[in-house]
Parts: sequence; C-alpha cells; structure tokens
Amino acid sequence: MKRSPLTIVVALLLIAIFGLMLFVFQVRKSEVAVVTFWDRMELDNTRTNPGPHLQWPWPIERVYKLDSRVHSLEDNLEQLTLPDNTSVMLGTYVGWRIADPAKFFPKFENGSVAEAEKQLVGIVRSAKSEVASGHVFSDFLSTDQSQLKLTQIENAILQSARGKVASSNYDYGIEIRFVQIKNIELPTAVSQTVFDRMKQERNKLASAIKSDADSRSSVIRSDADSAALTLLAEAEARAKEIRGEGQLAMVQSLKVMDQNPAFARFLMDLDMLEELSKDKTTWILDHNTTGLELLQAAKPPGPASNAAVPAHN
Amino acid sequence: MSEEKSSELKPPAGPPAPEPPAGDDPGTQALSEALRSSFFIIQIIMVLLVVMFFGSGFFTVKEQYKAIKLRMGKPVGEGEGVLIEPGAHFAYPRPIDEVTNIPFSLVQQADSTVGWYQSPEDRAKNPALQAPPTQPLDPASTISYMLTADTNIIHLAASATYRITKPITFYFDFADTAQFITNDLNNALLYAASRFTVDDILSKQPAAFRGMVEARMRELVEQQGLGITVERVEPRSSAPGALLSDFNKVTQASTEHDTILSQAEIYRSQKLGSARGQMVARTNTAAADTKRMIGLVGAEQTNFSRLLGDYERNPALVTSLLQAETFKRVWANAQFTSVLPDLTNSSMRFHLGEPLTPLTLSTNEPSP
Repeated sequence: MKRSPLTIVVALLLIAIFGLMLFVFQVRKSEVAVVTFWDRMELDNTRTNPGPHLQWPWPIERVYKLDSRVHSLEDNLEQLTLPDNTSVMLGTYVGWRIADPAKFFPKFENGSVAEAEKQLVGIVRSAKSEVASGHVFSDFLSTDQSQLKLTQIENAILQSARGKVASSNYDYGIEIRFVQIKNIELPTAVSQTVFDRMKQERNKLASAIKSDADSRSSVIRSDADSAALTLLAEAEARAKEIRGEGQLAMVQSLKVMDQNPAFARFLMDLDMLEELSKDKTTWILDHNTTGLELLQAAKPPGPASNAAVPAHN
Repeated sequence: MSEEKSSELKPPAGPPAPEPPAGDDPGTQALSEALRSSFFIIQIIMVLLVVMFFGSGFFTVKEQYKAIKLRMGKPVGEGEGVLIEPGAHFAYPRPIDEVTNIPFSLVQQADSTVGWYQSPEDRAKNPALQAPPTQPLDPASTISYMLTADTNIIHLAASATYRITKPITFYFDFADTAQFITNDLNNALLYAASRFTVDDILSKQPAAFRGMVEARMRELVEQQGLGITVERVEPRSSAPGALLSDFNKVTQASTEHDTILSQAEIYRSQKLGSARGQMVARTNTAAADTKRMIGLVGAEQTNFSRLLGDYERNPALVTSLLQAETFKRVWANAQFTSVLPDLTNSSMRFHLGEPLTPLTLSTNEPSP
C-alpha cells in the first residue's frame, strides 16, 4: 500500500498535537497550576514555574490554573467608633496574591478567587476595627503633622491582617501585599454638623478678613502720613540749614561795609524800597517828599523829607 | 454494485484510490477518477491549512507599542530582551506562542473614584466643572467627598497620567493594575487632604497640595512596584455645594482685602512720593534763595565800594542823587500815585474803599 509522504507528515502532526493536548499543559507566567490525581490532592501537586508541564490525561489528572498575580480587593465604607467617641467611615483597598496554591486550593471551590475575597474582606474588616480602636480622630486628620498617623494606621491594619492570614484559623495560602485607606467619610448626621460648623467658620473668616484689611490699611496709611511728615520736617530742617549757611556767607561778605555802616544801610534801604514797589504799588506822598518840593511855594533848600509811604494793594 | 458501495464508503482522506482494474466498466472508471481528483483537492486544502497555520504566526507591533511573546506560557528572552520592538515578527500559533501587545510609550490616564460629587464616567462625559449638589452628604450616596486636616468637607478629584515602564511587572504581576493605580490616586488625595486645610487646598496653597498628591502617588507606585512611571497628577477641588455661597463670601472678602491693601499701598506710595517731591522742592528753594541772597549782597558790596569815595566827599549830594534815582524808578513802576495837600496844621483820614481826592500828580492806570 503506497502512502504519500505528505499524508504521513500530516498524520504525525495531528498525532503530535493530540498527544500534546492530552499529556502536556502549559502554565502561563501569571499563573500557578494545581494538579489533582483522580480528583485528589497529592504531595508536590503544584506547578509554579511558567512553561510546559506533563500530565496524565483526564480523568486521571485534572489541572486547575490559578491566577498568581496580585489582586485588588476593595471593601465598603464601614462605620467605626474611635476611642474619642468619634464616628468615621473607613474604606480600604488591599493587594493580595495566592502565595501557596497547595493551601489555597483545598479551601475554596476550584480555587475560586471570588470565594477567597469574601473571606479576605472579613479579615481586613476585623483588622481595621482592631486598629481603629487604638486611634483617635486626630490620628487620621490633623493640621499638626506630628499628630498624623495615617501611614502608621495603614501599616498596623496590614500587620494585623497578615497576622490573621498567617494564623491557623485563616491559613488560606494568601499573602497580603499591602493595605491602603481609600476614603474616610463621616456618618450623615455628623456631616450635617460639620456643615453647620463650616458655615459659621466661613462667616467668621469673612469678617476677620475684612477687619484685618481695615486695620492693616489704617496702619499703612498712618505710617505713610507719619513718614511724609517726617520727610517734610527733615526737608524744613535742611532748608533752614542751607539758609543759615547762606546767611553766614552773606554776613561774612558784608564786612566790607563796616567802613561806613550808615551809607551801607542807606543803599540797602534803597534796594528794599525798589524791591517793595515792584508789584502794583500805590504811592501816597506828601508834598515834602524829595523831588516834590517843586509842587509847593518856593522854600529855601533844606534836608529832604522822606515821607513817602508805600502801600501795597 | 457492491463494489460501488464499498468505494463510496471509503473515507475521503484515506490512502490513494487503487488503479481500477483494466477492463472495468466505464462507470467504475469514472468513479475512480472522481475519487482521485477529490483526494487531490483535499491534499491541496491540507497543505493550504498547514501554510495558513504557520502563516498566521506573522504579526506586527505598532509604534508606541512593544510586545511580549510567551512560549508555552513562559516569556521568550531575558530582561529587556523580552520586549519585542515595533515592526514585523513571527510567533508560532496558539497554543504554542502567545503575543501580548503593550502600549509602552503611550501616555495613559487614570481618574480618582472617590471624593468627587460626580462619578468618573460623568466627569468624562462633561469635562466642564459642574456645580456640586446642595443636598446633604450621605456616605451611602454616590456623592463622595473628603475630609481636610481642619476637619472640613471638600470635594476632590484627580487625574494621573502615566507610562508603562516595566511591562512584565505591569501585566504579569498584577491582575488589574489600572485598578491599583486608581486606588493609589484615591489614597494620594486622601493623604494630602489629611495634611492641608480646606483654604490651603482651595485657594492658599493649591500648588503645594498638588505637589503632595503627586509625591504620594509616586511613593505608592514605587512601593507596590506597579511597573509604571507617573508623569503628572492634576487634582481639582470644590467647596461643598451647600456651602458654596459661604465660601464665596470668604473669597469676596479676600478680594476686598487685597483691594483695600492695594489702595492703602497706593496711598502710601503717593503720599511718600509727594513728600519726597516737597522735600526736594524746599531744599532746592532754600539753596536758590541762599544763592540769590549771596549774589545780591555781593552786588551790594560792589556798589558800596564803588560809591563810598563819592559819598564821603559829599554825602548829601550822593544821598539825594541816589534817592531821586531810586524814586524815579519806583514811581515809574507804581500803579497809582497820590500827593496829599499840606497837612501841617490838620489831620488826615483814610477812608478805605473811597477814592482819594487830593491833588493827583500822575497815574499809570489806563484811562477808563
């Protein structure tokens, strides 16, 4: 019977594929596998290395693949009463993974992650209550950063939850990688109280801001007035000083006039008279004024009268 | 007839049909010919299937992406060599090889899910900031909020942009890395809000608040080893709807505060500027007066020295001459000049507001 080589190759290929499907399974990098022998867990029944692994075909061995990645678990907001009688609603999220498939698999139907998370929620909730009972409200929120213990609280919840999953009661083969707080809220009644307080605070703050502005403005303005007065006083003093220096220089230069003070005085009077009458002056003179003697009957020449009286309008 | 039936029952992919014996009837020959051609077609189809099977292994990796090839579930390559660069590549078909495309250089975004009055989906639909609701806050409702360091209520949300920098960690170590990123963003907001007052977040120190959210986000991502690099975190904040008018009052008061202080500063600046101007003017005036006075005295001194000799020789004449000369100039400039009659034996009264009637020598006033 003559066989085509192609037919043989194809047939071998099909046999190989079929054989691989029956006897080989692969474990992805993100997975671990649990192999049961006649549906019974045996020792060394987990495959954690990614790659191909051998198996007896079903129903002799059955392979269960579990997701070995870190899973995210969020719990609901839960009301907690703190030692200072404050109530807060605390929500957390957890990063966990299957650390030991051999312990994990028998505890949950077909290695169900959802079933495991149901248990884990309870563990985290218990840890949360336990830790919160040792902290007051200002440990969660505070303007004084030295009082804040938010990170410590998260670590304490993590340690408490880890302790529980490591205990024989909850030995699920789970590793809790981290626990973080997702949100903190207040019960409805408390939030209304906070609203009322905030409303009052806002009004107080608005008034305080206004009065602060008024007082600071007054200070700035009065400081400016005072500084301006000081500057003007300094200016006046400086002007006096300059004038004094000028007067001193003037007096020194007048020493020449000591030769005939009367004549010097006379010259200065003339200057002063001329200076006085520069601007719209009305003169009321009597007939004896020097130069006006001609207006009266002839008299013998004598000393001139200086009865000129200048008056300014 | 029985031979025909047995031939019909043969499987199509079976061994080649035997040569029909010579001398068979034409019907048998035709059937045999038909089987041979059918088998040939099946062979071609099988070859095509095999070619398609292996041909389906060609794939391309787009720019901005990298890929990881798992062979029988195990990454092919070591370290950075695991990442397949953009371009055309070959992989054996599933289940031998499995290719995962990773948006390596694409900037991705995560949005916080707590603290805001809208869900992330609503926020994405309406990016414009909507006014927060005024109803009371109930933890059971979808309206979320956060508490600040001074125990006030505030609405906070944030968006983070990030890049995947460690794809193997991102895809193979975490079941839902995007969920962790979102929750880390929630935690970062909570962490920063617990350290800042409501006024710091809303108006006084928003940049510092943003910095702390970003720093906390980076810290968490690093601690948890999510395999991403956070590019930027952009928080946004809003006062609760029920207290918006009260917060606006404070904002308005702050604005007025700034205006009042600004006006006071302007007043100070003007006042001091004016005072400095006056200061300069006064000192300059004093200096100018002094200079002028010294100049006058100098001139007086020169005049005195020039006339002193003549005066000493004939004081009366010099005096009269100078006096007359001065009077001429003075009266020439006068606006009005009156010469009174002889009052030797009588008194004189001035009536203010009444014109003087005596003898008028001259006037420089223009004629009415």
